[in-house]
Amino acid sequence: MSETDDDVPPEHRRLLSELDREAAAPPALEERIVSALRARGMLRAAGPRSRAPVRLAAAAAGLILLAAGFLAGRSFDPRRPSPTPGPRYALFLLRGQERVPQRPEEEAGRVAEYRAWARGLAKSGRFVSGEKLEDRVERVGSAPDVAASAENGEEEIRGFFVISASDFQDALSVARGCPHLRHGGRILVRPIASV
Amino acid sequence: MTRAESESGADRALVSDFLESRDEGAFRRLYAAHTPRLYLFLLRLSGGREAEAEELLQETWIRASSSLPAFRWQSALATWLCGIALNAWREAARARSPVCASIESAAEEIPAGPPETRADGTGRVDLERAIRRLPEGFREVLLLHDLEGYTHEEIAGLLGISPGTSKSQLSRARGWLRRWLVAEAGSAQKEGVQ
Repeated sequence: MSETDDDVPPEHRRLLSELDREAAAPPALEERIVSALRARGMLRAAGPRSRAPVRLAAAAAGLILLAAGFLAGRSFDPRRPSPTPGPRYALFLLRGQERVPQRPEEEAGRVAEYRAWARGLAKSGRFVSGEKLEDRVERVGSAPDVAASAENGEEEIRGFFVISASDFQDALSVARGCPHLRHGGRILVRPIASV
Repeated sequence: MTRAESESGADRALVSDFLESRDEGAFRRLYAAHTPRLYLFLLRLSGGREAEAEELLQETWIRASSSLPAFRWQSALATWLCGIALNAWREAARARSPVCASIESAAEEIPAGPPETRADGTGRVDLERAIRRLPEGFREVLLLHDLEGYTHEEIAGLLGISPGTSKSQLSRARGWLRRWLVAEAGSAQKEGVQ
């Protein structure tokens, strides 16, 4: 709402703001639409690109696997291409005001966005690794402030990426493109010490 | 970086991935990122008729897949897709009932009384139902402005009306919803007394 908010009672505004902005479409509909696009020649069937060399197809498959590892809690495929040598940075994905996906379709959509972003990084040689973390937090050692903060969800780390970047500004630039921000999350960027 | 810029970055990656490969997987990722919002928009536009919303969603993605190479990012991808969905909806509405599709003619269709009230204590479900019962022209403007964040100038361009008409339709649609809210509050008070 923007230009004519003056005549909108707060209660009306509150109710409108509480309405859902998204709804899951029936899964069968996706298949129907994919079939319709394929029938019109707008879509190629899933699989390796026909004109791509075998070596590139294998690399692409590796990329998909490593990108799929994020948000799935699995290690990445060891066949992944080497990232560009250079300073490395850790991007810690912190819980912010993001809406946690409630339905499997929503979760799938969220995963797809992170995957696409990670694939873009991999293509530019900046992707090193990434994992989603489970919710469980256990305190070990004597760091009560940090632990309490995590338990309160204030600095809860949801996952992380390790990237290769030319410098700190470049790493910040990469972080700003992460879909985690789009969903209201926050990202902490830390250089990895070269020891 | 603003939220819009961040969204744009993720969308550009999705679109670039799809256009480079025309791969089914790339399309599914694009679909997953934008369909939930598009589907609810179409579901509301079509007054809650699921079969109609599904048909329109399919038409939207067919048109979008065809037009994406020409998309110049002068607006957010979500806004562009929403415009395609709206056009698909309006064409279907015109084919179904040319008179009702006219925003001017819809002006006289606003019901005098409130719709059903009561629900989950927040009014959310009832407001959803109330929006779906609004005449089509009013529903379009209300959804575009209050839920999708379009300006009156943008709505005017999309609907082929003047910004002034958009403002007045929005005002009337809100007025109807406001009457409903008052009636709903009165109904809740009566229940409290009893």
